[in-house]
Amino acid sequence: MNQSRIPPARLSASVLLLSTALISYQLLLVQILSIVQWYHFAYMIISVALLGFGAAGTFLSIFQKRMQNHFDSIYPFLLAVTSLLMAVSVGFSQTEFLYFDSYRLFSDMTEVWKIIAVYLIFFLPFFSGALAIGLVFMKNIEKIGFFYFANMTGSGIGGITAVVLMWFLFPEKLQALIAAIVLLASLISFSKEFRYGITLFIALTAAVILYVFVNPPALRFSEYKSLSRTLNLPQTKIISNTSSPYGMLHLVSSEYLRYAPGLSITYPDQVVVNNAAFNNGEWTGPLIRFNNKSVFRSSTEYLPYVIGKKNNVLVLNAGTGRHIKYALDEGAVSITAVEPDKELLGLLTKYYADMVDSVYNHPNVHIKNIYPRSYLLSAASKFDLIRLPVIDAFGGTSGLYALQEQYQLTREAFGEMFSMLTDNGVICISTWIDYPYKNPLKIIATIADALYEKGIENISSRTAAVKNWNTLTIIVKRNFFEQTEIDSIYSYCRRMKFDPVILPGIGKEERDFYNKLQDKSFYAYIDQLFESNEKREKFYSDYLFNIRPADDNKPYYSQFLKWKSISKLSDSFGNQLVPFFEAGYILLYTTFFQIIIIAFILIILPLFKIGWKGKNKPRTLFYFSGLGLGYMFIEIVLIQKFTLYFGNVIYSAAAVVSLMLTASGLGSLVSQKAEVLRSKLPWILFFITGSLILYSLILTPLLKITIVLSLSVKIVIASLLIGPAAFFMGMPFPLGLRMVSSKIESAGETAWAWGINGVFSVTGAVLATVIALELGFIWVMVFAAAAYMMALIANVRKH
Amino acid sequence: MLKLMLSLILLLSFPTQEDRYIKVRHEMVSLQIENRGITNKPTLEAMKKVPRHKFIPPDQINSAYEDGPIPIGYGQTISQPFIVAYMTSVIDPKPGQKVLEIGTGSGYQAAVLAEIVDTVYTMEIITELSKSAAERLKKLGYKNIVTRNADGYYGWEKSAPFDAIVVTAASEYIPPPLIEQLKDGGKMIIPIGSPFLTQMLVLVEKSGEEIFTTNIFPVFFVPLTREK
Repeated sequence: MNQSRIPPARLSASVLLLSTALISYQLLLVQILSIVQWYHFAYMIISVALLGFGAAGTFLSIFQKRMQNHFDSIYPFLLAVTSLLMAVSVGFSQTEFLYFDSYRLFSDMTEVWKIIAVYLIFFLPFFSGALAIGLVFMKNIEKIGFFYFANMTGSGIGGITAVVLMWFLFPEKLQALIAAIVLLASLISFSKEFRYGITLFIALTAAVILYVFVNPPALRFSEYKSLSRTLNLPQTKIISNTSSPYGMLHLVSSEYLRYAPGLSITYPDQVVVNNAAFNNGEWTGPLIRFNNKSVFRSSTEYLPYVIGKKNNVLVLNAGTGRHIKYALDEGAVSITAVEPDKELLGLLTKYYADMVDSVYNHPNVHIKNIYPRSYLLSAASKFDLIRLPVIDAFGGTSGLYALQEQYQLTREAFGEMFSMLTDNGVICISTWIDYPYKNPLKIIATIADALYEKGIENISSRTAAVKNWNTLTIIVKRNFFEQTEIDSIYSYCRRMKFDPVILPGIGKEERDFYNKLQDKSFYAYIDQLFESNEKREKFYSDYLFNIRPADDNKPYYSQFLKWKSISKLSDSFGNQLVPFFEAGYILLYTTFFQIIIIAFILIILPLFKIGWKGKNKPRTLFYFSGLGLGYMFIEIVLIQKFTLYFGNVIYSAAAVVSLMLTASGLGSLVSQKAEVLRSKLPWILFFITGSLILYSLILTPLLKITIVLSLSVKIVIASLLIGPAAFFMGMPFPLGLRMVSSKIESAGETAWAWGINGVFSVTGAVLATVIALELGFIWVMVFAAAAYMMALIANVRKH
Repeated sequence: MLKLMLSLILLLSFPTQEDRYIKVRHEMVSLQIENRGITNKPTLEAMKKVPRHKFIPPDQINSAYEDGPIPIGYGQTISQPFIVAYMTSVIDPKPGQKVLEIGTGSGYQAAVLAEIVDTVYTMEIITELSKSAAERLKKLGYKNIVTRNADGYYGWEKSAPFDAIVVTAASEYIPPPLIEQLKDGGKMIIPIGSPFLTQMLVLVEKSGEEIFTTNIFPVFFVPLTREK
């Protein structure tokens, strides 16, 4: 095999740039697809596209020799192809011919062919990019630690780069910039082998990138997204469009939007809402400019104020400021508004403050730009009212949101909120009364479990709830309700024609008088949930849906599906409606099975070339798959844990990923230089396995204790927790690859090993979500340790 | 002559496209509607009569009688046959009645109602849809449907009160003008909930000064609009 003429330093730099771009491109695609489709379809598409890495390994294992012989021309060409594909993929996916609407996927099977085409479009840049990286690894197997360092470090930088750039550029322009980074990588790998053809191709790619940057493709929102539907209305226009890592935020002016959840049927006047905010095309909230006091006082949401004034109010997920406004109107003297979306806050405190009556700038309002649960964990204040956002949209917290972590709706969160109440303080939450009954029951179960855990007795005597035709507002009081308060609630219900559903001393008929439910078992279910802990457990087991409260280990509040119930649901509601109940959950498993099938093919296919025999092969498979799975499992768990810790999902994800990858890259570099580490591989794997077992025991309590510390101290703690394990986690892969390459009978086995790692990394990302959903994050960590244990066993047996 | 006769026999004995649609339509009523417990005879007859496929965009015509909604453009859909039948039957339509529909869409629901009641007043805010529905209904010979391109939130005050109101667009709450325009003893069927995701079908009944609601089951409708 001939030597490459590309100097190692330039080759390494090009690998770093390419890796940066691949991760940035992945994050960008998730952002773009979340904007034009829905997040979980984005997740599905990207997960499959990432199998480009696995496919590259398969391809290399078959064609490695030929490609290595022409490395100096093939490598820069692959980079140029990757660059071009990155620049044009999004544009192609938005063309009339290929554009698919995920909303119609469950009802129109012709959309399936389009989604397959979109898979392919986004698969290709990852395939060609991974092929380039794999080629470098195979060509320089003896120096793999050095190049793996470049790969990991570049990936780490890519995570931060994407997040930073999203603040400055719209996603459709960003793709061109990322493509340019890859093109630069191609240019710096210039060697005398550069043919005229490649040079021309690079020039053409540069021209395309420039064109795309100047004329980016228009992003087509699904016509079923809230924003699209709203824009169909007359006299409706976008007045602001900004982009950030939080998503694409649109402020819309319309004469036709109004929002009044829980409104009484006795309310005679107009409800005026001119404007609204949409994030990634989805409804975020109304922008209430005018005095809306009478609307609020005629809705079930007014319930906490019926029993008395609230001076000190906490509004979680304050959003467009609706509940801040109501609290101010009701005379609150101090309002703490917790809102994690920095972009939204920026708009509503500065340029468009008047659209929300400048509520966020009111002197009585204190803004906390932090994740709500992080605030609950770190704050010491007491409140008269803690207001949670409406559990929005009938069925909308299941469906596509089933996979969303909602730490503010866990049992532990309610326990913390209860502790933050003054003596007469209340927690207030409103929810749509869905059918089959899910959200109201789960909220009530969560309240009951949370208080039970705190040793609070007579839970139902501290709870009140009223309903109109389909909204239920629940308040939980620190102390028992006074008789005057109960009388006030009764009186309010009679005036507004609401039905009291939970109230001390309530009669059966009173619950279902003005607003009847066709299925009255709702009331019996509530009574059962309050009756005792044993009755609640039985209800969780027997009920058609998963009503068991979410907890910090499994914070998926909106996951309601029980597999055993699917056939019953299908009989009752038809096949077409069921996906909308649990679309996110179903999409996750669809993604998982797709990946399993493709992964199986990608792993088996090379064996036809490199041969099936040889006792190394099973060990190679277990070793590299264990590494791929284990790394992804722990990465995902750490992102989750540190999101709460730092109070910001985007920065936490970027920080964890960058820290892990950089530390692993350094580990890889050290493994290259320190020959002695080759023989210590079993000990390294043992250390990693032990660290992960330790994580599963101490990480959560440690983070809880230190969450109140300052940001800089928390960053140091995070580095100390993540760094050492990640450092050693960067060693087994390059060490393993070198071992495989030194013992092979077939040239393709090294590439096959690399491909296995890629395939299982992708599989691991999806499998981690499945495990977290079904068993909780602790089990993801346990499985991570088990994966490294598997690699350890495979390695030890090799010796 | 023999050839001509044979051709005529063949032509007459083979079912036409319209015959096929009639057959499929009857099957739709039997399997999707009657089988699911709807027994209101006028509704069943109306559903058998109204050619649903003529309200569907040409590229979707093969799905006309399937058990699901169909997109008709502008982010709107024609409702699943069962839902149309249910919303018709639940208001207990009779000859001599005057019914208001909010959200004309393709005009299909209005056509079904028009087979039973005296007059249907139907409103659609999206101009293109309103126009195309009006043309379609005229072409199909519906003389007892009055269409209007306007904001449905305010109802149709001049022609009120109505024996029944059918709202096929979602709202978070029951628009007060529609309650006003409902006759004493009248019924309104309306999907209530967040406009951009699934809602609950709610039956509203007016009895003197009192208004009672009953939650029926979950559905998915596009949002109701209103003017300032």
